[in-house]
Amino acid sequence: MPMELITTLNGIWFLLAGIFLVGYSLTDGFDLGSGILHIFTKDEEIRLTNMNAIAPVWDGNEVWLIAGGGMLFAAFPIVYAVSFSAFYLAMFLVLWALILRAVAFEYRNKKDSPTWKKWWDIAYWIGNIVPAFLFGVAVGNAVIGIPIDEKGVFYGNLFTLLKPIPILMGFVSVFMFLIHGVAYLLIKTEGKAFEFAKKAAIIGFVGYVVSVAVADFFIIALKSELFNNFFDYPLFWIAPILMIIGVFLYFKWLVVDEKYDKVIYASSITITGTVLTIALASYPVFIRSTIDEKYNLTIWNSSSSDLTLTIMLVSTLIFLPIVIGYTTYVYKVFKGKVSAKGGYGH
Amino acid sequence: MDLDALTLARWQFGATAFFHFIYVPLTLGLGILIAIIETLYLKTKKQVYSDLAMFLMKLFAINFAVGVASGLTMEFEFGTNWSEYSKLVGDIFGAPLALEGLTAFFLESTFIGLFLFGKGRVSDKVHAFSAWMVAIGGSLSALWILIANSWQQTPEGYRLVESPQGIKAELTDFLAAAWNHTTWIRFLHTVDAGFITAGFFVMGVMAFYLIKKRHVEFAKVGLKIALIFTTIASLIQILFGDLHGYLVAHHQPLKLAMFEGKFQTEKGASLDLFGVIDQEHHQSRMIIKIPYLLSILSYHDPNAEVKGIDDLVKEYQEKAKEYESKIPVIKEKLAQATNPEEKQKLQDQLVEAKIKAHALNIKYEDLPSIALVFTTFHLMVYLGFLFALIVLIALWKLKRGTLYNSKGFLWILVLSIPLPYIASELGWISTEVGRQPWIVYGILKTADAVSPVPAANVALSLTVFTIIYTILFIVFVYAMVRAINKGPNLSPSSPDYNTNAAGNVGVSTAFSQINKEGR
Repeated sequence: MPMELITTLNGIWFLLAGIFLVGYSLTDGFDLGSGILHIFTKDEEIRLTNMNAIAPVWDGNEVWLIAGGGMLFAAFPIVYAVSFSAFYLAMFLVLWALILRAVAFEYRNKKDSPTWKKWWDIAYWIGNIVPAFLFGVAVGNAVIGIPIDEKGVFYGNLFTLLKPIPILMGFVSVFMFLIHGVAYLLIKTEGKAFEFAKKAAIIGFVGYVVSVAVADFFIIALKSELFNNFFDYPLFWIAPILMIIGVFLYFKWLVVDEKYDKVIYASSITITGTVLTIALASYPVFIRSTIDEKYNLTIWNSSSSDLTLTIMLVSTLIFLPIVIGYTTYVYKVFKGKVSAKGGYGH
Repeated sequence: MDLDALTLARWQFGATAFFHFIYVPLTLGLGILIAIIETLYLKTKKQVYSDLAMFLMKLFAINFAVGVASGLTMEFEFGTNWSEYSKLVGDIFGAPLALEGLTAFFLESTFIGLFLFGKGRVSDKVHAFSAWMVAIGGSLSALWILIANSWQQTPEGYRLVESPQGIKAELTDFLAAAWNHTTWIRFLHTVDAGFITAGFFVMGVMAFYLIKKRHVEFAKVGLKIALIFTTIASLIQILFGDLHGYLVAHHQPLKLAMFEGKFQTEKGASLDLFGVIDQEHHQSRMIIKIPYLLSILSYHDPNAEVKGIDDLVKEYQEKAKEYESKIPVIKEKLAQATNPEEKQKLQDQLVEAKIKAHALNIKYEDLPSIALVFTTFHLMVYLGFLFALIVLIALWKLKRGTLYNSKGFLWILVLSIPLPYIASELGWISTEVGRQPWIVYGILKTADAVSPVPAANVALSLTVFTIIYTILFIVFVYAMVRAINKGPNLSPSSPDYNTNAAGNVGVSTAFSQINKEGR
């Protein structure tokens, strides 16, 4: 492992950025995953059960995105400024989708009318699938590179971003959130909804494995330099190994042992491994420039001052454990199965 | 083309912030009000308080969902639409945004879930505690955002440095940057505006129930608590408003001149109440003038000089020239300097001179619509006084025992619900437009802050946002009205439990008891 990852502020912040991304994927990830399932069943009871399963926690989960965005702004303002202006329309698609999701969630069950519900169901699904897909696409683009010049000005459009590797990574992220969402539902539901989740888990699992394999194949064929870091710093193998262990455990607990309560640990390990693998493959670059290597945005040329990084680090070390503490507490309070009844919208 | 993208980006940010700010003030005040009511329940164990808190939290949640969604957009728009700004100020501006998420937002949203769904699963104490966490989260959130905003208004605790991607403001003193001269008053003023908004909102809803004779006992209790809350908030706001004006006068004289429509410098300046601004001819025609009052309010001295817009613009231009003339001198010194420490110092001076020479060089034509700043500011102030008047009348009626029965006045309370919202938006417009032509006062012009994004993209996103936000707003109002119409879920032991929707009040033992207290 390169020493600067843990001995310099910039290195530590690169890892922290990764941790926030993992945090978001682990929490809001299961919301997105459960939402992706929404239109694949017509059964109102299953739909309501799945929504009730995430109702008390999804608001808090989405804050990981807000906090992560703020962290990126504070620690690597240049990355924040360049990526969001370069991914302008893609970014707005995500925002529109997230707004739809939030509002659909709040309003869908406010009225007992089939038309009302039908429209909000579509909105809710779009609100889940679009962010899940575009997160993968965005990360994929950052990793393989986009046409940016020395000032970070982007020369391209929305279609510049739709290349094979980023699209494949979009699928990887959809399936990654799906298997996690399903794993969460396996804990929270029973009866019909549980049986449905079990089926979806197997389909999601196959989708995840296939999409990762195809994406890897394309990366080996087209961008094999992305593997260099793993040979330069052998410790980086931890991340892909975690991913493989996660996949293995997922299969074992879901299919072989049928220990459904444990599946979520496997999906969590898989997600952590997947996100860290991509981050470490990219290190120390945040966004690659396809115009010239010199214009790459790295942890060195795009960070805040040491003072800001220090203040933010101290704050994070104090507050992140507190956040994790009360979040865990709230999850414990809401432990147990949910049903289609309940929820405050009725 | 560039101008188009800039104008559109301005519109977009304005629209997003305007929309977001519809939902924020209520959240700020309602959180505290709910926490107070929950605490009353904890102390007295009267069921009506618990029902009231639960009911209000449901309304809070509907509001909060839209607030979060629109806040998310705002956070990312700094990067998408104002990337040059983000590059320059990221070192300073990003930190409060991140800390908002970390210290406030997690708290608020996690505990809303616990409050709404945790009843019966957690003890009453934990339930009340979660209400306080929601309230504190909201206030902390406002604090961080106002720290960020105040830094833009009166930047401190930074130095300017040159970096590969352009000039950056670098943090030198966190406390000075965060807690600058205007942060605290902006915070108090804004949060108190939220208290007033929530107070009028709850009073209006309860008044509506009383008019319709629904949940009568419940509504009486709610109205009384909200009235006391709003009275304190409205009266304090007059003091906060005055202090805020005083600080603006000292730190942003150009903004004060625009607030008051003063083109020419005046000694012993009058406070002008109504008038027409003629920006083209550098004059304003005022109808009612109160002599010396503006000097007294702004500087606590009847004879103090209040600078006019014309003189201030000239002053900034002269300062810009001064910096401009310093540049070659510093460059010369820099060429001769050998001591690395001195070199660094000179380099800093050079960057500062370059930035200020450019940023302070403003023309009269760069100013925003002064009529807009003047009008929004004045209307806000008048509304502020109106709020104080309404609550004082309500208090008087409460004392006389006629508050719950005077239908006409209850209707005034219902119709007043939108007014504090309007006041908040007006205040926000006047303070943000009043900061123009700068995005960071005296350092960065708004025109230099925009992203290098094609105008067509901004036009597209602006259009879609306008549509989405309009739909959202309609749906929001619909959901709010529906929830209010549906009313509270009263517990069996509540006095109104036997009240049906038609308005026939059933008799229960607790009824007369609460009735006495209502008076």
